[in-house]
Amino acid sequence: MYMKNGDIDPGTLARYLAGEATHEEETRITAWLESNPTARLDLESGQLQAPVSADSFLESVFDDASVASGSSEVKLPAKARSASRPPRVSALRTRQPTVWTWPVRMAAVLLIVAAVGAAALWTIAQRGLPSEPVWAETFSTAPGERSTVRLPDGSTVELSVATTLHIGADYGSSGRLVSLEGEAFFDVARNEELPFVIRAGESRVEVLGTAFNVESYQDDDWTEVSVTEGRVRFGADTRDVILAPGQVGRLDRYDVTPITTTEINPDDAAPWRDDVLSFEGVPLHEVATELSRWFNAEVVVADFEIADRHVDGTYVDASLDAVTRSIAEALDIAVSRDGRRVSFDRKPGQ
Amino acid sequence: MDRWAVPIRDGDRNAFTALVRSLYGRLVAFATGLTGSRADAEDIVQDVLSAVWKNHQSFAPRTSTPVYLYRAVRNRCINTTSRRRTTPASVADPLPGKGFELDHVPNDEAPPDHDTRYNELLAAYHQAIQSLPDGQRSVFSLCRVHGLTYDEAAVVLDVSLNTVRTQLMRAQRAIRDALSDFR
Repeated sequence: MYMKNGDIDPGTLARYLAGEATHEEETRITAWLESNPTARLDLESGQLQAPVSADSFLESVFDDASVASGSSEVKLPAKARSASRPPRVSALRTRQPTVWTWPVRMAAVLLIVAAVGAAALWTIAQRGLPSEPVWAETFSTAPGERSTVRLPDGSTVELSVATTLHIGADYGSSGRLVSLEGEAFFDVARNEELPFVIRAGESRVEVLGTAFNVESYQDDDWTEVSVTEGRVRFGADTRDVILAPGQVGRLDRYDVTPITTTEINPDDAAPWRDDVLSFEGVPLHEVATELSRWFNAEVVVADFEIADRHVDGTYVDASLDAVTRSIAEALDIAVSRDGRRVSFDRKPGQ
Repeated sequence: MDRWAVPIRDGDRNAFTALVRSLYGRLVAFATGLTGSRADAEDIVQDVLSAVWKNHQSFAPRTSTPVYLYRAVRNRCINTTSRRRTTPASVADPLPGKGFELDHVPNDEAPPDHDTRYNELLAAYHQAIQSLPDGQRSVFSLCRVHGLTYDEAAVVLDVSLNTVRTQLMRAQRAIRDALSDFR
């Protein structure tokens, strides 16, 4: 398979890998790699490999043998899809359980068992969630703006900048469901009958009564929950964790990696409430996004090569100019401002 | 959003099937290089792709879909390899015996020592790339073997473009030295 045409000889491949191939050889090798998935596998493993096939995987995903054989009968009519949401693929991977899904599931089961009272409610809340909840009320803040929402059960939600909070239509009667886009500090009144559930991006947060911060902006690829008081269940799909005071859980929205947890001082869960802007090893491009929301400005990184430089700094009640100048100085980069627009760039000549 | 992301989000099985067919092999190859085991690699790639399909309603990668998948596979590999790092010697699943060679390499088109030499090259390359620091190894593999652009590799590895350039340059030097006998 790897040498079907007999035209890739080891010497040419060696020259290509050593970066010494001619342009013509390079084109030939890249085309060969492109059409030979097994050749890449040979290179990565250091030995000839049996051909790799996705058929059995596809079969297990759809649980439908006709897919693997390439039958055209698998088409789902587009209209049927839009009329009702696609069914959940419950048979997913049942035929090929992998090494660590079971430990993960076992751990999830143990967590559920540990959270005795919450377990049943959690399951009910999961199953009972309508696919598109009905929202009764919406509260929003603009960039640079904040506000506090008081809910009928005595819970309060402090909205940070550029944030939207939806309140479920059945809030307080059959459940306490809200959705969040942005960042907010929740102080939830205790009610063991009605768990408080937040939908944030793809993740969900559930509590009985505690105080904690949730940050989940559409512009960022992650959701973070920091707990001040009580316990918070935080998760998405098959992953979930229970966070205690001082713990921060972070979930990458589009990744399948596990939720990571770090420790902080419980009082530092939501520094924004005290006008404290704090960065610890945050890439400059993320800092720019955050500053845009915080100051209602358009903060951009003009040069790709500085976008990943890490920013450390804590600013208390500082102005946009003070913050951006301080960052530029620390990273030895340039910053310029034109009205609401601030741009970080490399220094001329660097 | 690229041409894959929208149909997949809409639950289009044909689009997902096409995506898997086009990327499965290369993702398995990439993960094999990172974990040292083809079996682990296939598990990881299947987990990642399953998660995409399972959560397809919210599938909205910020990068192109292939870059997103390379990145997810790489993140997953890091979590696995930190638990058990296999040595190059224990790379699993080589071809069983000669059957493959007979099936796939027509003798009339390849000189008799072709396979041997190719095998030696694979082994030498593998040894060279395994001795590189993780960062250099991944950059080299992504850019030279998988044909990603420097920009794409930077996104997959979460580093700057500049880092990709320097790492690749260093890796290239090491590979060149290691393969000098074959050129």
